[in-house]
Amino acid sequence: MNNEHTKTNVQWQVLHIKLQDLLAAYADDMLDDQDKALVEAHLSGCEACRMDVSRQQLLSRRLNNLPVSRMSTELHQRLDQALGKASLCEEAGNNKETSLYKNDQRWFSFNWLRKLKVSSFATASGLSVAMILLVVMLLPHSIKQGNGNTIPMVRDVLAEYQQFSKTTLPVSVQGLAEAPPATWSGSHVLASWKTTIGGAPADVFAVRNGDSVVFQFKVDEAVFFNNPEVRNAVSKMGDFSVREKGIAVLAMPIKSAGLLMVGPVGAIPMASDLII
Amino acid sequence: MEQLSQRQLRFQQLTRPWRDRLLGVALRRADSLITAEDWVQEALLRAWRDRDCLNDEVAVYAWLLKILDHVIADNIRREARRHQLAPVVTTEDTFLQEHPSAAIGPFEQVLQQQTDEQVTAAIKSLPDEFCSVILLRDIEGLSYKEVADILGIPQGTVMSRLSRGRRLLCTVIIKQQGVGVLCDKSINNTRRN
Repeated sequence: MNNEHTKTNVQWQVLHIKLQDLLAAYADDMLDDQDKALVEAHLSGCEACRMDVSRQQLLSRRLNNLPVSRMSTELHQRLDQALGKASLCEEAGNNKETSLYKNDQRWFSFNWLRKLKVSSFATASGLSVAMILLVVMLLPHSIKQGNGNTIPMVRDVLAEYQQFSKTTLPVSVQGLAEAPPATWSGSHVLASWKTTIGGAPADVFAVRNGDSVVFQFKVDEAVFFNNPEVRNAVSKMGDFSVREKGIAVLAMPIKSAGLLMVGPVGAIPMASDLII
Repeated sequence: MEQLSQRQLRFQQLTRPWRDRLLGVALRRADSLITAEDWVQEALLRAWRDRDCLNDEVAVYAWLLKILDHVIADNIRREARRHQLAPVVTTEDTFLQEHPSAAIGPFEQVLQQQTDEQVTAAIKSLPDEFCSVILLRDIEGLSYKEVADILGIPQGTVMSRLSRGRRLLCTVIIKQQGVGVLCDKSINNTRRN
């Protein structure tokens, strides 16, 4: 009986030590179902590990809220100069001239462009198909349907837009920057106010665009870059777009902040038309 | 010439939005602002040199972080800090078991009372292998897979380093708070006297 108890105790200790390294992933909800069930069974009988998970969650939340450092203008200039010099040295060395076009293609041309080149420029009908495709692909950058509201900042701007676009706009407040982050030909500011997006203060500008009202949200940079889906889209395409029940959201980084534009599908100007 | 300028411009467009965040990561691992700035400059120059690796399938920020991590690793290795022995703290650790501030309520208060600079200093004091994982996961918000790719380690290692690193960071923060409290008490006593 005693031996049996000692054996169980040893097995429990072995498992306890083994699970120590999984507690961070459990706290972050990153374990697969099997490991999660194993950890949960252990946690039900181990107070030290339960406390550890709680501490890790608190710590992770605190670290996630640390502010983003700002780079000085001087350092930006220094980096620009260093990169300029590097590119000049390369030009002098002339060691890559044969691959210039190839490099540009590999870097920045998008797959759809390559496909268009290969496919249909040979015939008139092919050309028209290609042009239609080009227009369709140029209009909605990386538009994603439906699940944008899983991203907190997108959920918040959609809620704010839906709340105020159908009722009276809030009265403009003092202290906001007079000009919205982005303007375009014919844009006209109707009102501006402060709100909270992604848990951080944000400025809102209601801007008239033809017969529609487009909201511009200037959000905290840390909030803007918090979501990996947004980060990836911005890295690859320069912006992130999503549609939700006839409302479109266009998100792009601006100097030391993020810009989210919300309005009816088709009413948001293209990124290339914006003056930022 | 025009081709080259165009390429430079495009490189700037892709990398410029990430400069602040790169500096943030560097600052949290460097001993001084000057060192952090040098690391960022070196990372961007390496990125420019290796730009052929950058295609539209690669997430620019993760790619830049990987280069920055190599730059930092090269420098830290030179200083031999990378080889310092990393202590293993388990949940059975006596300090975490017995210190009153390690209980959940008091620990949350300790975290709220610590300034951003104090928290950053605590992270910097960690052995490099823990510091880098915590920075990338908890501050930069990258996925376990992205952290594993950047650091060139398996995802299982990311999990274990994160568990141990956070545990160690908790003890550092609690001890740091203790020092702060002692200093405050000592100042108050001096004033009273």
